[in-house]
Amino acid sequence: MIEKWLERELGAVAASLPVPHSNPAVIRRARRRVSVTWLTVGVIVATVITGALTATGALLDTPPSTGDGREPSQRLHQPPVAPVPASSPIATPESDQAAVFAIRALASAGLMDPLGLLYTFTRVTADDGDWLVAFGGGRCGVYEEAEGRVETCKPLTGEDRLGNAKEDSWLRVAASQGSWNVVSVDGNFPEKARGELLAFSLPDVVEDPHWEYPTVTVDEPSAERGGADGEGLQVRGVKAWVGPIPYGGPGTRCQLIGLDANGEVVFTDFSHYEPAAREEWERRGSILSTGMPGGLEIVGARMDCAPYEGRGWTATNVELDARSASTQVIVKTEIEWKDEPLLFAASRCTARVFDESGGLLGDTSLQTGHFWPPSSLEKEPPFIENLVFTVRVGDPELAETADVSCELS
Amino acid sequence: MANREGHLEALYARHVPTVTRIAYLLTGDAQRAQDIAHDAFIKASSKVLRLRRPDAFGAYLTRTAVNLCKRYGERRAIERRHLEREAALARDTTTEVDVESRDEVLRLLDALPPRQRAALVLKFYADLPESEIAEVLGCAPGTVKSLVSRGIAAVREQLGGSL
Repeated sequence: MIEKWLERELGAVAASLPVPHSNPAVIRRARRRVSVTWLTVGVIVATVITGALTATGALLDTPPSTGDGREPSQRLHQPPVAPVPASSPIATPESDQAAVFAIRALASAGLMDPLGLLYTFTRVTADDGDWLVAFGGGRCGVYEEAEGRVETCKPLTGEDRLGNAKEDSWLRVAASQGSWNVVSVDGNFPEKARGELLAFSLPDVVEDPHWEYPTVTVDEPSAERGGADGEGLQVRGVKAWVGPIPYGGPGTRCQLIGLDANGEVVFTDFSHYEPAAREEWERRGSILSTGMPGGLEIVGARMDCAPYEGRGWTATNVELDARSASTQVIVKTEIEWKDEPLLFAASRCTARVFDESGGLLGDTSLQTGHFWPPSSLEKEPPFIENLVFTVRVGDPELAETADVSCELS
Repeated sequence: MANREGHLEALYARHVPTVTRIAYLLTGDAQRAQDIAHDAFIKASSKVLRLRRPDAFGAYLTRTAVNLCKRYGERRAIERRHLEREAALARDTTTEVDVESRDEVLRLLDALPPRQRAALVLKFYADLPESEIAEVLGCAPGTVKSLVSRGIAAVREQLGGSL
């Protein structure tokens, strides 16, 4: 009886409050907030890319032009790309396994800082039956800080033209009897970390290539740290590639998880896609900078990553129109999203046009230009978009068939 | 962009009136309720593109509003304690409640602890299932049962067992 009374009285009191169904001023403010979110997404991508370039000194490593209009010599001698795994896992060279193990050991000992300035991977070399994995570590010691005397490491600076650290720290690692182990620790490491590093061990197992985030930190944003909007939380992380480089297979699906003080999941971001590592410098990792909403009592975070197994966009109803301009044909297609809604992933779709014998006459690619099916915000699947390609083929009368394929990028 | 703007308009029309009234029942202050609902909408709008399930916007908005009401209630409690000390006011708890009056219903709600009050409003006004109330309040469904049960008992006691 009292339940019915509560329903009636609360409903009556609530109904006594007049509430408009629109408020342009509030919606304008909300729109600005949404725009900031989109801008932040752009900043995330830019930060990851520039972070990678800066942290690795890739700009320095770019080989000089050949001077004759050709691509630099590095591009003329691309290393072989590991193929996409068919049914069995891809074989990762032991040197790459050694590097991955060493990076995981550093992360386990808390030595990978979220800005990627400390213990940057530089190279791995075979040495007397072991693997010697080198890092640009830092100046480790006891420093006078605001909170007192602390043992910590500070990044090396001014060591090369970009100010990147040169190598000064080495882990000797080896695989034996089914496990990877740290054999010795040399160079700039805090004393307290040496024991942890020497005790670190992992099973020697085959893993499908993927990105992982050994270090993820959460901070309140501030203007000093470039906080997005004064609210929410700043998330920083360093990612590491597990697998051979370069790798020609699919990338990784990752999802940021927010945790409360009890380790309970209180925030789950949408998934996003990260392309596989294609360049050797990517072994050195790159920096993630993103955010999470405030007010959820988030105190920690992790990034859950797994090899991407989805299908992304799939082209259907490909139409070839060869009656158009003199040297071009039009290819129209519908693409349907075959994955979860709101996967943050750009895609590149390519149309190819063939002659009667199956010979390729021409191709054109389009970036889909959005990061997830926008229609998924407002309706249920199927999520379908239309694409129109203009393909230069020389003689349109030779064009017989066309196909369209898409891949996440 | 136009779709996104239209989307926000639609989200406002669909969710903000209900959330405003929930905030009103939780704070007892009409102007404050509108401010809280608007603040919650603006905060939640930054997340609308990141929700895995777009239909989760309403729950997220409600949760944000309830949290803002809680903060407002905490501030108001501090202010009230200060005023009571200053004016040496003593609340007359023996006054019989006239449940026919809107203000008195609000006063009756105001006497409840914030989480009990929120649980009653979300259950008996917003008509949310216990699982969603748990999500909004950040607790287990079993806790919601307990909050509702204790809230009802407290209301019944204030009403002097007349219902």
